[in-house]
Amino acid sequence: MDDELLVRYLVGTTTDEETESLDQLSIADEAFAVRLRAVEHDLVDAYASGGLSGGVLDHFTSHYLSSPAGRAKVEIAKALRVYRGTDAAPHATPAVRSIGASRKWLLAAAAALIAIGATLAVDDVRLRQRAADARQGQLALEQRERELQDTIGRQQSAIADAARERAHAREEATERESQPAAGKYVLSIVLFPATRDAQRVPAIALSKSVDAVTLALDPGPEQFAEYRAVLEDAASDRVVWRSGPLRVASVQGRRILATTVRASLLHGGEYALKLSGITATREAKALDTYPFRVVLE
Amino acid sequence: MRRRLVRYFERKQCLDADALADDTLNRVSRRLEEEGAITDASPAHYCHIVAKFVLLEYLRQIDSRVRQPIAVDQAPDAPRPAGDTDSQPLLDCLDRCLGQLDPDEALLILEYYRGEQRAKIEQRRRLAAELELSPNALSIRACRIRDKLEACITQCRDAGGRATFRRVLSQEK
Repeated sequence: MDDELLVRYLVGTTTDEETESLDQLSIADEAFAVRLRAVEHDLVDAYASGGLSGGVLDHFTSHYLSSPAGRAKVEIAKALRVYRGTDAAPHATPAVRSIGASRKWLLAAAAALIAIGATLAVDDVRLRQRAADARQGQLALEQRERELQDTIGRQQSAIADAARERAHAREEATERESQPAAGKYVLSIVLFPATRDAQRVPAIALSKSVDAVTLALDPGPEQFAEYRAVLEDAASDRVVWRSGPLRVASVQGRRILATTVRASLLHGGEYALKLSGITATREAKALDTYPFRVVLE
Repeated sequence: MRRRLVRYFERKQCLDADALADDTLNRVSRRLEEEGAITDASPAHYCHIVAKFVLLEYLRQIDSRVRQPIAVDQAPDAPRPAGDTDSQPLLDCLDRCLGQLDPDEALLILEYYRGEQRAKIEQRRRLAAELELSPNALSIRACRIRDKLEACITQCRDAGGRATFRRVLSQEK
């Protein structure tokens, strides 16, 4: 039995006999049910990424999407796609592609970013606990920070390069066809508590192609089952966004909090992410504040 | 079995697949209680037979307009583009549910479904080699994690982002 038959079954174009047989298998045979689900996940992902065409797309739209469950799966697939952030749109501009390529440490690529972030974050904890080996720990931290600044610098440089490329492209626009639509991206950044070094506020260079920003941070040594974060405009103290309950992820034995904010909520200026730990009695205990700056491209 | 029945009813465009799956299992249970055993079909095939009857009854009961396929752009709760600002709650739920997975599972699910067509095939081959799994075993593992993630996200959204989604994760494990 090939995947093409399963796709036809899922979009409702199998014959009555085929449908009856596959219905029965899908209930009676666990191995078949799992395989059908795997094909369904790939089918939904293909739709979410614009990869379906012709009759399959027509039937997917008219049959599969006519059920609430089908529509919910598509929404989740699209959210996963935004979260991963690196599946470039097929017609992305060269500038946009260069932005995407420069962000291999996106959370979507997960391991790289989280590992770097967690390493930096844990080093940050050590710094705040500098009772014994303060000097040595601080040196190590500064080295880590330099690495992060380099990373951010490379990112900003890449975005600046991309902006220059776009400007150049616009100048030559009369010789070109219309520019294709840009893809959607998730930008990721590691934040530090404000108390450590006020001079080093990380900056996010936000281009229009960025759809969301993932903020990764070390929640500090005190442990809570749950955290909440509030994002404020530093200039006006206006609350821009509130998180739901956040939980610490353990990555390679290190604790890190990550949350994603829609880029449309962010404008140029300085922001403060205020973190609270939720106690067992459901009271919020204020923890660190994590400042960052947004620069619009 | 219940999960397979729910998906069967979902594929048949039923609005309350969970209730229909429960109805099916209740009927099978009653038959077992009454007769002690089901001898004319295997239990799984008998479930399918009963599910068909439940589906037919359901289709007879509901207004034909309800089960008529609705064009996606006309559907009242048609999916919004992922770029809409309203997708933030979904992203929040995704965040939380990924955080509830084991880190290895979260990484696997993000990596397994990355890419398109040939790149995706190559990505999965590489993952299978790294994890020392056969492609089929990797596919089953990824599928189960995604099912778990989707169940968690659905529960999280239904609960308005509250904590009850944790129950789903613990049940699925």
